[in-house]
Amino acid sequence: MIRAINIVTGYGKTPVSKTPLSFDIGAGELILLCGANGSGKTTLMKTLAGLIPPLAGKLTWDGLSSVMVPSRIPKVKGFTVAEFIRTACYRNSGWAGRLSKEAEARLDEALHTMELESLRDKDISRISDGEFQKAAIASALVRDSSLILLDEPTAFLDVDNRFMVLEAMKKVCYGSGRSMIFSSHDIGQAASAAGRILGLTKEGGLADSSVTGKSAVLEACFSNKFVIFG
Amino acid sequence: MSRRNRTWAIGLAAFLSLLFLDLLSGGVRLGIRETLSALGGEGTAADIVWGIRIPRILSAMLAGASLALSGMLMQAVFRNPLADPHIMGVSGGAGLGAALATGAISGPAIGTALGGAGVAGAAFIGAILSSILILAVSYRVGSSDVLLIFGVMLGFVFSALTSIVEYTADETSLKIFYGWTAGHFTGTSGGEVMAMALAFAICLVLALASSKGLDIVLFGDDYAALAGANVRRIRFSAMAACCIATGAVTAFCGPIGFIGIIAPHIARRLKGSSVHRRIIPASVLGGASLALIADALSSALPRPLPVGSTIAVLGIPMILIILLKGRR
Repeated sequence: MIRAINIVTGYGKTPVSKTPLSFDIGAGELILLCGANGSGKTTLMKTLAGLIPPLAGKLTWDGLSSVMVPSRIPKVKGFTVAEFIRTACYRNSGWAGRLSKEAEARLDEALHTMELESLRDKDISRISDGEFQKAAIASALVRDSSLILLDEPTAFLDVDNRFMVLEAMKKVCYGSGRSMIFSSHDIGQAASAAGRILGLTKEGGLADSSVTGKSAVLEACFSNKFVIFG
Repeated sequence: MSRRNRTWAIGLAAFLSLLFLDLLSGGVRLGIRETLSALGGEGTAADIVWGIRIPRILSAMLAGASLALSGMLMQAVFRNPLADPHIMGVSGGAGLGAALATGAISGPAIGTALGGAGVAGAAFIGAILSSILILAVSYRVGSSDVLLIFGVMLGFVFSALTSIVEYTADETSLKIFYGWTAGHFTGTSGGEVMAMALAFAICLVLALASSKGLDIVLFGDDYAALAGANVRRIRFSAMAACCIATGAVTAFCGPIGFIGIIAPHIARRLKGSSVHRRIIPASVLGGASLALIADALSSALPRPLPVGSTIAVLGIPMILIILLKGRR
């Protein structure tokens, strides 16, 4: 679905990735992107989202567009869950912010998938952080993309909320054939939930669990030893 | 009646009562019947109502509505609940223009001759020139924080230059200048009211056209850009709208504070929403109502008070309440 051939990520003329990166992403994959702070996870995601062009190399994708949900979105008071999702669908709405009938139907479906129907008209400042993260994922579903990029979707969440969000992500990937790439510093839970791990290594390269296995990827990225359950 | 319609009905009724109340207040005492018959008649009472009060009320409403919309735009763009229309230094530019005009026409005779109109014209030019500077910078600067710092610093520079001009000015020009600074809705000419109406209309259209953009920038520049919004364009049109409306109001009515900060908060509280499409009408109505209250209060007294100061006395407690509620 997406093929990256020797891409170099970065801003303007300043490269972030130390070596050219190559990988393929297929349909229905749930991929954890890991790496130390400053290894370029967010930059790679922004590149895959089409927000910044790669400085070198070739990036091709067939299928629908990709959507990225950044980390730490403020829970602005005065938006219901449905209004928050409509606001996020900036490209799909009319000048007054209204969605088409088809998009409204996708919104209903996304709320159903994320089990958020009961919270539809609740103010986002009054729902839990985990529920808010699911609403952010729902907004990506409404935008009808085949690749969803989530930057630290489980940051600052407690164990229960983390579990809830990861389960919802699995449901989307394995149920709808969409792919997700998410970054996380909470390696244990995230690594066992993900079907595949891509790691930006200490040396600046890319390690892929479909080639080396999950543990090897983590060892290439971090100095600590990991035990992955499941 | 639904809750939404009821809120609107109450708001509109309150606004109309204020409008009527303000029509009754003024230096010359006119009774209810006298005022109403003056609306359709001729004579001294009609001259007072049509020549003084209605232009004053129109100025108050346009100023209040424009400042409320501008405040709402700045609060969205800077994601700061205390941002106001004057935050980018447009009023500072208007003030410098007014100060230069009063300073330049120092001779006592010429000073009184030129009076308000000359000051307003100079203030308007000052507002336009500072707006052009701010908009040019805003298109180059990527970060909203840097832009905010620039605006606040620009305001300081303008006020410092104004002080320097005033330091060397004589008594007459100082009096004219301070008359402008205190803020007033009285004495605006038909042309000035038209100019404010035009500026308000432009501001309203720009605000409505960018309402969904204003919604999305509340969630952060990064978030908005990732959703496909052009953050710079949204910010530019919001700032242009604010500069035009605030510039016109400040030039003709003086630097009037507080309405711009408070009215959007009242609108959000009443509508229970931050979605701009919803709070734009409520902000307009709220701002106009606040200006009418201030105008009625300041002109009901036997000796009229400057309206800018009346609004300040009225507004400070309201801002403190909002701040304290937010900290709880």
